[in-house]
Amino acid sequence: MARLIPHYAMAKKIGAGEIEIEAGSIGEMIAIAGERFGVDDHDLATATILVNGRNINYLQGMKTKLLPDDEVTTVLPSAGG
Amino acid sequence: MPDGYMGGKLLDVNLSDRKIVVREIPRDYLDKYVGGRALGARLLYDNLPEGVEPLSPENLLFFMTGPLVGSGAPLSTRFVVVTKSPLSGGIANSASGGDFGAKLKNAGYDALLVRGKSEKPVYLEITDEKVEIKDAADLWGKGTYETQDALPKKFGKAVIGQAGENMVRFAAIVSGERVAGRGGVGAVMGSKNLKAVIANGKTKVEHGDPEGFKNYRKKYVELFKNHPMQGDVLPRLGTANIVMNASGSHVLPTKNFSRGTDPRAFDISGEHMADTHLVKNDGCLGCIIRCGRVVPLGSKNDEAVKGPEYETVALFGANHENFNLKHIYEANYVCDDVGLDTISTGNVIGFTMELTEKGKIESDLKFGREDNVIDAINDIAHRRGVGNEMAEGVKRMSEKFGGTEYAMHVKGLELPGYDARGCWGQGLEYSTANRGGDHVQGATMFMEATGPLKVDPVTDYNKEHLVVMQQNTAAGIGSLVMCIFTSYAILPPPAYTMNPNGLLYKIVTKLFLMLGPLLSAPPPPLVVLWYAQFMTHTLGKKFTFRDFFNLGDRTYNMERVFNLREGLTAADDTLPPRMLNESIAKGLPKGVDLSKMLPRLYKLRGWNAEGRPTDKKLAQLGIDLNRSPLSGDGVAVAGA
Repeated sequence: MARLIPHYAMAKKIGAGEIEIEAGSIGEMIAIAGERFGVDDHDLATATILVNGRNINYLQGMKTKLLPDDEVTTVLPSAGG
Repeated sequence: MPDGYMGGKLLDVNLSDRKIVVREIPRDYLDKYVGGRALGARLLYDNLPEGVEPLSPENLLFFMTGPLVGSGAPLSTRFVVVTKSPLSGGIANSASGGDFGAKLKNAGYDALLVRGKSEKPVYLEITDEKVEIKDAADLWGKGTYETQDALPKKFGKAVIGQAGENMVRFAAIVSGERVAGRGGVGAVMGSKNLKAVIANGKTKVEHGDPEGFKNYRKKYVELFKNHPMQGDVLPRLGTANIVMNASGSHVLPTKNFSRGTDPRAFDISGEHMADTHLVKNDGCLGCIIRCGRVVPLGSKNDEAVKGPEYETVALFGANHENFNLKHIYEANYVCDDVGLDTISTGNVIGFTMELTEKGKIESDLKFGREDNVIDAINDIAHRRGVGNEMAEGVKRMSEKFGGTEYAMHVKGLELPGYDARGCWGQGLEYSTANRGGDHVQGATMFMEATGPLKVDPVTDYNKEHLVVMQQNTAAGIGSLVMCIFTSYAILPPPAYTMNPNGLLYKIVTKLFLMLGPLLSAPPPPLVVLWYAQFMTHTLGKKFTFRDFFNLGDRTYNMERVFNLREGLTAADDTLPPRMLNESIAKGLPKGVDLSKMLPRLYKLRGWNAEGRPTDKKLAQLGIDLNRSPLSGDGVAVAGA
């Protein structure tokens, strides 16, 4: 199963900093996270999604395929130094 | 007409013969180099003989301000320390908040130059009436907080702790609770037996166009208060808002940069800090963002103290595999008190943990063990045991004990909290940064990984344009002496709320890289953005955004010229082997590929294949390589 490590607010909503989801693509994983944990558009409105450190915008977007040991992260814009 | 300057006055103090005079910085230098980084680099180049040992009495220590410092322009109550770095052997420029810069101007000076070495520990007291070198025997051996408490109230202060006294190569200078941390400026101050500089006075900074300044200030405050970053995320979460993003983007240094992510980052995030411990937020004098944190310190019965920035959380947290915020608060407090740069200190401790793990050195430092880290900080500051080795920095340690492939520095300066394997532009920026491995000399990772508009982070396509744009902007800001956080508002609010998975976002980020050549070219000569606006109203004459950009370019090249003169070469424009050759994440290429980016950046900057600015480039920037040292007797000062 692929691992999802969500951003802070989403992790609080889910109740875990890390969850495992069996899904064939990013789109499928997000849909399952929605069904199981109530993750919705608001949680992802400004969130970038990465697979194994790679921004899905530079892969196949929501259609990006997932393998069982892949790691998916979501991040919000930040600033500082 | 008033122009924000104090007449271009430089206070020149020689601690060897106790001679103190006032000199005038030539007008054409003020016009061309303005202040802060650029003017400091020019003055250092002119006045420091070639090849001087950084910790010898011959090194020069400049405290620079600029026309905006003390002018009432928010985010400009700062100063920049410029000297030859004991870590890199090249230029050190280290900026700090705190009120010292503004008070130095109130005392009537745009800059302070300290030369020589006092026989005994001293401090320098500067007012608009007199300047005195005073005995600091009672202060020597004290931490920065106690030292500042013992000095007269109402003065702006710049002091060192025990680390500076012991010439730890990454010792800092502390002003209030703000720190000029990078490059070992505190070690240079300590090498001169100078414990503190304090300044105060009644001279006001006046504007050329006070009405215009006042009106623009109102608009600027409004703009920042309503901006998603400056008005919300930074004051709410502090700079540690980056932790979760950095971990998710695989750029959070973890276990001495051997990984870029850890699910436990949640526990050391700015959000978690705000949810669990935050007492209130805080800020530099006159700041309208107030990203500083105030947190309880366990070892002092939960007394409210300054909290850590992102860098400290990254380097003392994930980099040590320590995910306990309370421990990081302690490390931050002790580093500030003994006067150590938290970035270099966290990095060198992480390096020592790995050296120990690999059996190359004997120490009790271990990844995941936090109980002895405070002892290690104190040992570094006092140069005790292994601490004495760590006090030399990771470059020198690796040359002695091995581990050069995972000694995480550039040009001797320890790397901060972004692993460039997840943001190649940042890698190019690190490799060519004049002061060495540092992130605020461009902050390209903001455009690749951490900010709202993320261009492809692991392509070399047009990255040289992005990096030159970022480096020139940061250098311009450092020469006006403003806070780097002013730059986040250059991206308007809609950029922060765009859906990163939508079509528009994809088009914008793609276009952004494609338009690279436009981004690195001088912008139109318009009085736009706060940099040009505040300068125009302060100087009382037109200062355009193109002037600002060209100032950044001039700064960068002036510093480069200094470094080349001091023996740094193109071979120093590189990254640690671990960052070039080792994999950090399954989805990312193995290491940063500098092979194409570096020659392209040289060409774009107008440098030859050896990384040397061409005569044509220097002429275009008006940089004359003939040295013009401050000369003559100067004007004597009362009290000297």
